[in-house]
Amino acid sequence: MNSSEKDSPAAGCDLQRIRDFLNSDHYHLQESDLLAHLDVCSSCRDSLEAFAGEPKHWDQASKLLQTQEFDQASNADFSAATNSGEDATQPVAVKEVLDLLVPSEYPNHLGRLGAYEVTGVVGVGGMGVVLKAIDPSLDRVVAVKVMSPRLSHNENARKRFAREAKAAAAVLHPNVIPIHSVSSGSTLPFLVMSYIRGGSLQKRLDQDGPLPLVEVLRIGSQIASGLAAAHEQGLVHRDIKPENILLEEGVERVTITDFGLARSVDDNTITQMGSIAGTPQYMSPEQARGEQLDQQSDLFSLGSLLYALCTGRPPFRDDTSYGVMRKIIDEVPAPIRKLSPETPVWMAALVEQLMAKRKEDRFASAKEVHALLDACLSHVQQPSSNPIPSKLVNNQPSNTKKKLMKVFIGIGLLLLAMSATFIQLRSNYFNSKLTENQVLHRLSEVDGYIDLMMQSRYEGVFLNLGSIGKDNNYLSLKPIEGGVELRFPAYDTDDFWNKRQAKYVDRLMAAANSLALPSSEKSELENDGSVRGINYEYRVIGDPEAVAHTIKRVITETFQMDETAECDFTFNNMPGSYSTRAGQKPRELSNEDFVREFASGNYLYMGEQKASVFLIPKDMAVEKPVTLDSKILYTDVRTLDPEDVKRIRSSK
Amino acid sequence: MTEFPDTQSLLLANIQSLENREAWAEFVQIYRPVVYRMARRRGMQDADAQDLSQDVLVRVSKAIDRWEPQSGIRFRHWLRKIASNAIATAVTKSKPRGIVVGLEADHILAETPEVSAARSELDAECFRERYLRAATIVKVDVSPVTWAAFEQTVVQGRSCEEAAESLGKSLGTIYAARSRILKRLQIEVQRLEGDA
Repeated sequence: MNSSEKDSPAAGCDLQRIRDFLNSDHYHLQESDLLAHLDVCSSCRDSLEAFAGEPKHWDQASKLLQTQEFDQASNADFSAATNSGEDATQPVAVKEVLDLLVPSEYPNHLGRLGAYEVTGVVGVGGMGVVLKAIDPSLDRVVAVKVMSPRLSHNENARKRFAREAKAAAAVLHPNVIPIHSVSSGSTLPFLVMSYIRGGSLQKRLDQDGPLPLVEVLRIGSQIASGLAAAHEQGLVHRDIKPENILLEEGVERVTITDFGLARSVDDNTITQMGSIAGTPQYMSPEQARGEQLDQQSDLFSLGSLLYALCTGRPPFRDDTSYGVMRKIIDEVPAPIRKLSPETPVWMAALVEQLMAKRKEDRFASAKEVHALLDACLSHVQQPSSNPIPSKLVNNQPSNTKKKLMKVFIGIGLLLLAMSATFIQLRSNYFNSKLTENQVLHRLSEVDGYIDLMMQSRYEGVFLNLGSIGKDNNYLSLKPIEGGVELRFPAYDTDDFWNKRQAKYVDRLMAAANSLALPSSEKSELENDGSVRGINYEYRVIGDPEAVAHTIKRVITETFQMDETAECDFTFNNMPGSYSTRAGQKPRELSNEDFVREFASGNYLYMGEQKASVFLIPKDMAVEKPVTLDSKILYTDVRTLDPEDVKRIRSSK
Repeated sequence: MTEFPDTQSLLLANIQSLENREAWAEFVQIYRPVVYRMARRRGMQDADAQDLSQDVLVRVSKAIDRWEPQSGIRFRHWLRKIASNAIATAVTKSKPRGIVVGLEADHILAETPEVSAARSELDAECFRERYLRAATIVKVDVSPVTWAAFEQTVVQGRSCEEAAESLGKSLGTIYAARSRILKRLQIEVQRLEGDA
């Protein structure tokens, strides 16, 4: 790859070599003859600079990298001295290690360890200190983990460190930190790893709180994959926790660090001393009891980690390490869905099984967990082609299980899209109430209407929360291109209707999430271009029966049956499967005539469109699809007697 | 106020391919400071400018599911187009709420001199921001001395001889270091531009 061969002359101009030098990723010290030549040859220096960039490129660098007004701290970062000036308040462990470094020739370096030039401190771990250093042979940045001097006096600890480090170095996997070399003979045993730009998962958790489901699955799946590779080599991590997971900057890669090392020194220190370096919050019960660990213990810790990602807090908390460990052994953590209701049932079930107190109740292997998390991730990203793994569905409480099975294993495919639109709060929208003369139905009647809606031949059903406009604010549920629509008013008799709307949104989201309905989002604009609201659309696949089930569930979970003001709805539009015969139109009747025709018993309720209600002759109702013609009757629903409307609507 | 529940997860579910999610992450890193600077230059206070940059990103993120993979436009480029409209509107009207999002915005966004000035300023600022990011990346990857040789001579305008003196390095080393870094910077900027 690069020109490390010393075949070129030590002196003299060699333009090709200069080119190679610029293009190689790193250079070797053997390049010193080239550097020496550059010292004296100004023509080669000019060539070098010309190869590196045109004059305008040099100019660009000079201009763009100047600090400018309104630069925020983050982009001025590159010019700040970030490496050396860590502060004086470093923990004792760091001082101990730094004191043992060989002084460096470079004034801004902290010292030298073996061949490595130490430029900074990355952090302090359970068994030592992690330094940032330059590997001079390759001019690359590395992380050097140094065993704490306190422990390095212990011969057993040193041996164990070396053994574990070598085992960890044998794990080659994209989600496990690569270990370049191990040195156990020197005063300070250390191992050299890749330096990963980015932060730990703990940092992310501190900054962002609970992560979105997709992220939880993506990160979890990668950790499980790395664990599986290590477990295959007989290695146990022993300390899976967010601090030991690195998120590489700009890339979606998750890296497990500290493999088999963190607690390898002496597992017993944990229980004997009652307090340990680092956090015991992600420990397994067997670890807290001071028992033998195996691969299953890592699975428990992975479960605790996923719990923290879903809820934003670790599962077991107490003021003391001892208290945490007691809880790990004795207590069941608060249900995930209590802390974070939007977590799907299957996700909570997966974490619960990982966190089973008995090893044998957890999953069989990290490999299995990886496969499951991967399948869940595909499901969340592309639900139509990827069902939730059946293993997780089977673990659900039996009532939800049945419904989910129906939805996902349905034969006839029907798409359900629910959309929730809600308005950005601007008070002028909120002043008015429904003006239409609408007849309200009880929620207990909803089943019949859902069935009607399912007769629609359109492939989608919308659930629309909060119509936009001065007059109507409601949650509505309807087929995408028309058809039977159920409307649930979101206004209230007092001025608090917007509160109710927010409540609807929350409950609707929770219901949709618990059914793992995937969603998408659209913004809607006002005529003046400002954003009016956001549409959420949910989709699910299943046979019509399953979709009906889902809709029913969403409705009953969104509206409370016992709160009478909430459970009224109106019924608009006709089934969407009818089309209009050319040149013919349904016949409009007066309210009186319409009611009389209905009373004859020859007509059935067909549906409603805008302000009209339609009747269809009984004999026509059996043929499908039906074409609209003058045999179909309609009248203005707003002027009808509400009692009549009620009777007519219930005649289907 | 009605909180929008967890829009981030909905958003991420829509950006399915890895490449596009990376593009989005980079996009956020680049555009946030850019909008901030543009807003400050137009007289906004620090907090308002931060709100505005946050707001623009949220608006743009909400437009994401309108992107059609089959349209033949790369996500990255589509995102920039959307952002250009949103930002030009936002900063010229200095109206932190109610920003126009999306290609639909074209017909209402009159190309006034103010708007086109904002667009070219945006392009220049984005380029600078990518350059700064590239510098951050390259700086971490090279030894401090190598970086110092570049920074002193190219950014701070010192002569190579002075730098050699102050860093205790040979003149050839200084030349080699600054050339290598300029080269790497350009590669890195190109990668961030998405043309690599």
